[in-house]
Amino acid sequence: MKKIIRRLAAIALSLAMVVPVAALSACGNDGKIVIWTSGEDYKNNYYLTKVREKFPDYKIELEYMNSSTIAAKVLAEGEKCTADIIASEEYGYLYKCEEQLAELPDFDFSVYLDEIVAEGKKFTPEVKNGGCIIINPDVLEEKGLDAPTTYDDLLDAKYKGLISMPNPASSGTGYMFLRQLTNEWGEDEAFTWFEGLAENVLQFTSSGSGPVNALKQGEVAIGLGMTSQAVQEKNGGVNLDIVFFEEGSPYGMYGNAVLKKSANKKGVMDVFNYLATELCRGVNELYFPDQIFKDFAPELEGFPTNIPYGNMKNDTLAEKERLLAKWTIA
Amino acid sequence: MDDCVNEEILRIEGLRKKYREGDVLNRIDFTVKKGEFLSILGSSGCGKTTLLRILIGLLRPDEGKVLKDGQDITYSRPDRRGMGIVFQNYALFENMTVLGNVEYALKVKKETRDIARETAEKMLEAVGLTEYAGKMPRALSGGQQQRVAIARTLALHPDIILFDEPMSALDVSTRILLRGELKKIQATFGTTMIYVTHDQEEAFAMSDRIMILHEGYICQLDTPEEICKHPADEYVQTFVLDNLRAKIDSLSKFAKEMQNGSEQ
Amino acid sequence: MSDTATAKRVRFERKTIIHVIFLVFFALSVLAPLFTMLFHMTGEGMRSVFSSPLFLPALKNSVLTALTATVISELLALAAAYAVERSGVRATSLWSVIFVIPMLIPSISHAFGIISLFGNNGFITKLFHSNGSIYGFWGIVLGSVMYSFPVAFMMISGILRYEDSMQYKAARVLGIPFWRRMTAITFPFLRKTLITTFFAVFTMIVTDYGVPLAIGGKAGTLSTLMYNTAVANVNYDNGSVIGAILLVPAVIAFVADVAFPEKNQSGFVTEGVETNSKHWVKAISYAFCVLVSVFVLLPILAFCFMSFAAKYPVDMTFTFSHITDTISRGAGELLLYSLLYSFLVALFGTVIAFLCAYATARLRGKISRFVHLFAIMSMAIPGIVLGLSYLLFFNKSFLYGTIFIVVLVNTIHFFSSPYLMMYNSLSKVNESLEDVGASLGISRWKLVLSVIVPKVLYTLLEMFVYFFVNSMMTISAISFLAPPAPKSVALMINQFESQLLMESAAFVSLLILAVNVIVKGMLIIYRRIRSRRGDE
Repeated sequence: MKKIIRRLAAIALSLAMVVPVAALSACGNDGKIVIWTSGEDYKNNYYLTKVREKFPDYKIELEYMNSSTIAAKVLAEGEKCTADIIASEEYGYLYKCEEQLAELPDFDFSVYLDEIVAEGKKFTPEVKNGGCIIINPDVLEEKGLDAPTTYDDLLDAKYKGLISMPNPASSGTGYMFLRQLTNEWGEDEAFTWFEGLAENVLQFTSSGSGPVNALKQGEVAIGLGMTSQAVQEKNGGVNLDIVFFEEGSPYGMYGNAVLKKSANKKGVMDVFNYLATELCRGVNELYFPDQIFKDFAPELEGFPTNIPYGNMKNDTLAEKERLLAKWTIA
Repeated sequence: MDDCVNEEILRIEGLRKKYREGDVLNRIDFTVKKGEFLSILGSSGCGKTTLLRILIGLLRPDEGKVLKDGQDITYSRPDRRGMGIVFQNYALFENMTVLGNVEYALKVKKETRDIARETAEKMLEAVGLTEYAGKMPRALSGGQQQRVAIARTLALHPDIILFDEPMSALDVSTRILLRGELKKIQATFGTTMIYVTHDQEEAFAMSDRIMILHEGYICQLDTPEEICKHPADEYVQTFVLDNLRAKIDSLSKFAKEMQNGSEQ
Repeated sequence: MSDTATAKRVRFERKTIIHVIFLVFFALSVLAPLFTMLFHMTGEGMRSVFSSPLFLPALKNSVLTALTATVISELLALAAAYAVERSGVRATSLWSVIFVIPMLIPSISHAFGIISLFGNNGFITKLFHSNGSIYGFWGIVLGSVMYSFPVAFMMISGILRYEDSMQYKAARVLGIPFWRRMTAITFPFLRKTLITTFFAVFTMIVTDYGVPLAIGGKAGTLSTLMYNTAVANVNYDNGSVIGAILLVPAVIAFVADVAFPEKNQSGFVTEGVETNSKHWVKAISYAFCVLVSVFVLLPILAFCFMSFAAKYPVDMTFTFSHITDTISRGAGELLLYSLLYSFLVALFGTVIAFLCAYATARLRGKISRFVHLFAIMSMAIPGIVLGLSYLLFFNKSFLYGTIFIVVLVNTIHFFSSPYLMMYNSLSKVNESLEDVGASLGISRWKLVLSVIVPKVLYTLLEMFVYFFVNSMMTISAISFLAPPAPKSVALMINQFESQLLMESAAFVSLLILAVNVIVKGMLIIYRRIRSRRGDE
């Protein structure tokens, strides 16, 4: 009997002690630097490992979200936003959030190729992300199917349920394809094509890295995905083919930024500068070899050379919002 | 005992209680004498349980007073009235031993461990359960459990013990046994007992006086003999005396049979 | 007369104060957030939601998948409950335990389980070289059946177990045949339960976004639309509109449940129904139990393979790489966080639900019925709706982004079941205990702690486990509130879904399952020990 009362008292006491401690640890965002990123897994791991190594005294956390979610949250939450640094975000969304981004007066933008530096200089270039058609030949072989060679081939009913594509509404990679094909074919034809493609698509993934992972698992045979990620997996031993149809490779620019509300927070600028310069170079060298820096043109094993980059004009935020408003396929 | 007591222990004046459902106590006045055994007899819904709850202080009357030894206790706390109560469903503390049940209230009252133990053991002895002290209540029969409940109440030495149909969950033979024990306990401790029941037989067998309650009014309050001789009204006549007579009649022929049997 | 009236007014009963405190608590934690969401709806938002070409297909999908899945789930549950409770099969407790295992992992995990078996690259697809796609309608149905089946099973078997045998004995004596006994006695007896179960399961499925998100293919449902609108795209205006629509079935279910209270509940069971059925019934029952168990356990087996095999199902070489990958993504830290807040939810929830149940079951008064109604109302609010409501109501308060809000929202979300467990237990505890206590001078607190709590200790533990297990695996309400606070390990699965990292999703599902099996297992062991000691 007494035991039970004593036990209850112990529980109540531990409750009284645990709750404030836990609450403090949850509230105490002050000592913590939070990075939001829409990048792929391997790149995120690289960033996180490196910044933690370099700044062992800061508690640095990295959270993955879709590029559209990051923008939406930054805008919706304003001062209350828990992120300090935004990494790997599409230029379009970064422009959209410009009001919430910190000025970077001390940052040396001259090291980057001039044409990729954003107006207003509120964010730094990170990578040029190119897209391609990725094929898992094993799955095709198993189904007794030929590899497609044109975008029109992809509409063939024999590929039904075997194609994966990121949703343009949530993923920058998905949007690249929509942008490019609209430029190439005109809006009506492009949308008709996507409607046809939707018939064959197994699932529109919300993340740009979804298709390559689906290919890797053998869930689909064909993916509209990221060249860099496909090369990573290929180098890791997954049997994948990377092809470019005649329209060429769509691409998009991604950048890094600091939130205005965190500009004066201890350590944030140090972490950002390290990430935007040295680590950006590392990423350039290891994963996304398209040239970013004036003085640095890396080569990456297995990465296609002389990629035929496609027509990406009108890649502005206003155009994006207009096109996505029309995008109701998924 | 019947004639030795005239000292009044409890006086109820102008008691009134209304419920939304209409269950009513209406201008109840009576007195209880020290050491007497008073039954409150009535069918369900007559207000007898409400009256009992007002006496112990679990319920407050709308009007009227409860006086004990001349002091107004209408609004005092149940445990400050020198009264105990025993319910139909025993309400034992099931996670404690029989002894634990009896000594728990004493411990809460900050009695020393030795005194609590000693008192509890004495009470268990009084109800004949000494050998069950270490048992858990659920190992006991219904009658034994009710005796634990009585011992638990006795341990605080109340002047008055209230019983709320304490035997209606027990079988007939246990009831008759327990009746005798209740009277024995009363003789030993001199406790005043107020006993609520719907069973005429029980009331007439045990009581010094019986209060017959009907629809919130006291029909009659008198000794069993007087009630038999001079029933106050129609209700007492039909529902109390006629019922009792029917019971006696239904068995009387067996009495004859039994007699015949033993004569042969 | 007038002086008694004033006396009454002055004498404000203590229990009334307690009831009012609970009413205020529920008003703040349930009503206020909910109305904040409802008032957040704008004409613009409604136009934009209703005119979206995604809306009608999503509505249709939601209704059709949920209806289909509910019917299948309920029929399976009925058959399984009958097999376990009535057919006379052995090892009934083993079957019961296996059948409820799916309750211990998040709904979204079930979708991955289905994909791992029936996906294009799934184990069973490979085995039979089948060609149909599981993504879409049937995927949603199958996944929803998986995770709602245990709930339906528990509801139905719970009632079957406590059916009285008298009618059956009579029927058997009269020589009424098996099927006739079923239609004349069993089904009428179960009618109310079947209706309640139907509404509960339908609501559960139609408001879940986990399954359709992962396996819906291109088939969107209202819940995924809500998730994509409000969580992924942070559009609260449109999210509120969809949330309001999702409230409709839940409110209907709630009203149905309150309006038609269980008639059988108070029935006095003299003796449970005997279970000596015919041999063929027993044989079919065994086969059925085995089949259901296989379906329940296969996805979990697949999770194990996915977590430990180099590349399921082609290359089954043993490896830890998926696990180290998942841990490097933060699974370890988030697991600790989930454990911490689930523990807090369990503690806080159990204490509040106990006090609330005590207030309604043992301090009955004029307004205790309203407290009771509030307490079971949380059942009617879908998790994602509650999440959005909390976000909108609390986002300007200091609580926002703290662990408090996560604990509070989960406490409310899972409140009604544990509350009802305790309400029923306390209603059965001897009604005169408090009166005896009062007459003996034992204070109410002391009596509750030293007599009533020991009496309902097992129910308390059951409640604790219920809160804990559900908090460990929930992805609904918390998906709105987690990002500012640290996330939970269950929410990692959402992220893995968007990147299609199946192995990591499988491993995290296993982690959650392991924790929940341990916690639930401890409860079962405790019950065994207790019943062996003869406490029950």
